[in-house]
Amino acid sequence: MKNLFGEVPLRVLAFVLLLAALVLAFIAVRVLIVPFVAAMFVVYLFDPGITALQRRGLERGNAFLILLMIALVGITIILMFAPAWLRLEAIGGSSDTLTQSIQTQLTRTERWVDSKFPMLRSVNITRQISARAATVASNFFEELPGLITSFAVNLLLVPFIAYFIIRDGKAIKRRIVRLVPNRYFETSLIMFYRIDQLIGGYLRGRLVECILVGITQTLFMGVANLFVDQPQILLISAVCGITNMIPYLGPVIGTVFGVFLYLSAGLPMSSIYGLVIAAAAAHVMDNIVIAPAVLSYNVDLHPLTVALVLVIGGELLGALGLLIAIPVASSIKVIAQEFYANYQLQVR
Amino acid sequence: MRADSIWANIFRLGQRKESLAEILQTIPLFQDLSSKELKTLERVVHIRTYQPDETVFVETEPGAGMYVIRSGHVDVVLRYKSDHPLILAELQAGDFFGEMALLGDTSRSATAVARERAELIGFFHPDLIEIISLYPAMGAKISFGLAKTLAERLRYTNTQLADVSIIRGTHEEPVR
Repeated sequence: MKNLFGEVPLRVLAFVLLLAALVLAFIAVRVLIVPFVAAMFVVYLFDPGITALQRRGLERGNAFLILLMIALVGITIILMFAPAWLRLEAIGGSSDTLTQSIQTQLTRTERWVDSKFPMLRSVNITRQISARAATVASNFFEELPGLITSFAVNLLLVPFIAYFIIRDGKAIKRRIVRLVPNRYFETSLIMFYRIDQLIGGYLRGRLVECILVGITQTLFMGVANLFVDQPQILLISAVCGITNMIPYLGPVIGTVFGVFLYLSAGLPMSSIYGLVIAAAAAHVMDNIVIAPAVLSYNVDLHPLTVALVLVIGGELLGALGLLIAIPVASSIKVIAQEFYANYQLQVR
Repeated sequence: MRADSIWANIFRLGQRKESLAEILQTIPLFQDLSSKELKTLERVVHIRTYQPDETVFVETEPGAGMYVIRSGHVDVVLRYKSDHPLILAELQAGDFFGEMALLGDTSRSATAVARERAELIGFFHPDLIEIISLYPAMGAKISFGLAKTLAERLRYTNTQLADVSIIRGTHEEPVR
């Protein structure tokens, strides 16, 4: 019998459909991977609170909703009654001002370099960089709305996914464990438990660290605001807190965001110096006080691994991929370590 | 080869009932739990089915927790894969084993093998930790039951060791 598609064999059609389904699944996973990982963060962050409410007889899903409400109300109150020094007022910024500010600054720097090192006069830094600065500036302003939109979409999606992970996660885990053959049942149970404990401890630690870094930066920028003009303290501190998730590069990325914002608003260099000093002070505080106190379990990744993981994360999932790359890589390292330790134990 | 040893079930009470909660209630670890707590426990435990000669756990491998036999028979064997395995105990429905692993980070001291098709109720270290975290009163009852069970096993071991010492004539006065 001739099929509906003439000469095309059904097997080819099935293959094409399967391929299309795989492509769609990849796109769906790609789209969902960031909110899913972010939801896992939320789950681990809220877990101690949920357990405490569960002890009082509340169901896990309801406990999460209550805690989420409290968090949202808290943030709204902070934003509504934020002290004046947090400087929430909008600063008008444009890519033209940013390019101009970068050019002015570069010319000034070049003039200073030329006066100190006359042999470098022929290099002509300004002309070479200013062309690129214009591109960077326009890119910054072109990508910012997209980034904010995708961040806002994820912000709505994350609590939704987190709610279902919290409500049904344990049942799903039990169902997965039930499928494990008897021979590996106990091993998988122990591994699930240890990995959960380690990743939970690590992610909670990192999140608390980021929140504290954000608060510290807010305070330092508040102090800087007494001496120099420091608008948008809360926004810049929040970005610095979030980007702190990325080791080594995170504080730099956060600070560069602030510097670009100030340059685009045409603020004087004193404001930028104030911001950089506040960010540096917050970073020092993080390394000396916050991180040692908060991180009970630290997953040390080699700087080269960090670079590689960031490139892969950025390439696959863009700016948000940069944020989740390190926690995901650290979690994979914890799982691999646990598998290896277990294997060693069995070999012995 | 068989051995009359501490693995023999000293807690065996007789004919067992069928319901999960009722079986659990006969185990010394869970004897003090209320019916509501037993219902909670029912939701936490894992039901596993083993075929004849299938190993439940293997000697020296890390252990996760204890098992209660719901149906069938399980042998606890030392040196299972060797030429001279030693059967430490033959357990039947209502018996339990492996409770020391509930304390965590211990390796199995013997191998457990299903002699025939057996249905086991598993209760593991992560489950105990979760109960302690969510229902502290219930967790305390189970922990106390576990302590009592281990103490009973220890007392039984001491008696057996004393008997062995007397038989061998190596009994010595304690050093003061």
